[in-house]
Amino acid sequence: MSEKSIVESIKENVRMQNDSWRFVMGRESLTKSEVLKRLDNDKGFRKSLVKLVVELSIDILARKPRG
Amino acid sequence: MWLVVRPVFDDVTEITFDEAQDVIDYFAEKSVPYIDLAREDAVRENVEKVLKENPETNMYHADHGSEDKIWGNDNRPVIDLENVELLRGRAIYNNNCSSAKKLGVEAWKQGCLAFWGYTEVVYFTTDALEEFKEAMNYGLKRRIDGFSWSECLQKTKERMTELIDALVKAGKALAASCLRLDRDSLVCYNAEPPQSGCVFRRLAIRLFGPEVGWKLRESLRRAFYVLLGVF
Repeated sequence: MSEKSIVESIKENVRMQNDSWRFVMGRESLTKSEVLKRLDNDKGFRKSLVKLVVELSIDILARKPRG
Repeated sequence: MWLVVRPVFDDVTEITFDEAQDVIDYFAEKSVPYIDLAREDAVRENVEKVLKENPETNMYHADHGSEDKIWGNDNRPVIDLENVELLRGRAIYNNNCSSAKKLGVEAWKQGCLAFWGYTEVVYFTTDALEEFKEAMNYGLKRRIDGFSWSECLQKTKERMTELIDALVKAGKALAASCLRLDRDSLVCYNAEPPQSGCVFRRLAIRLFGPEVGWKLRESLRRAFYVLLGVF
């Protein structure tokens, strides 16, 4: 899966949020439209969000099976 | 006794203020004495006064943090590297960003009993505020229940993993991603000693243990003056 398709999936997820939804990174509290805008225009932000979701996938894959 | 410090001056601190209220409710339920410095009372002079007058008091801080300071209500830090010695002999539970990176290490070096906090910026999303509140306060509640700091850290990370899984199942993948990041940057010095990014510091810690390794420069300086006195 390319970075582009991961970004598209993140955007899809953000679009599904309600209008009062916020994404908070420390002091920065971003609205839905601000997140979508920064995903388009801010390479650093885009990469950090891709890293965020990829690392969750790795975390889930690395778990030992239960039982 | 616990000192609760909870300023409010923006969207994010309104949320952390509410998270601190959850802790206060738990203190009340468990008959744990506390002092609440809220909103405009959450400033440096008041925090210093309470800590100096109550040497047994631990501290809970819910607000913004930086690598070397934690903030008050008036855009000034309540604890930074200038007054970090006030944490000697007590525990501090941080619900803030990044303060474990430098302030926590310095507090640990100065004899802070337990520094609970995050080495990185804390991320969250508002579609899972209840889950983040539970995760942020879980360790302190377990401490009040009588567990050691080491057990509290382990139990909190396990609970965070359960919450991550529940968020994924609920279709809140971004919230789960944020909580995974927070879980991995959560530390508690002394449940574990601080980690260093410096190769020489890591070597010193490995050779001499964390107590000496983290204070090697200071130890060498003291040894130099001792030798100077001898000769």
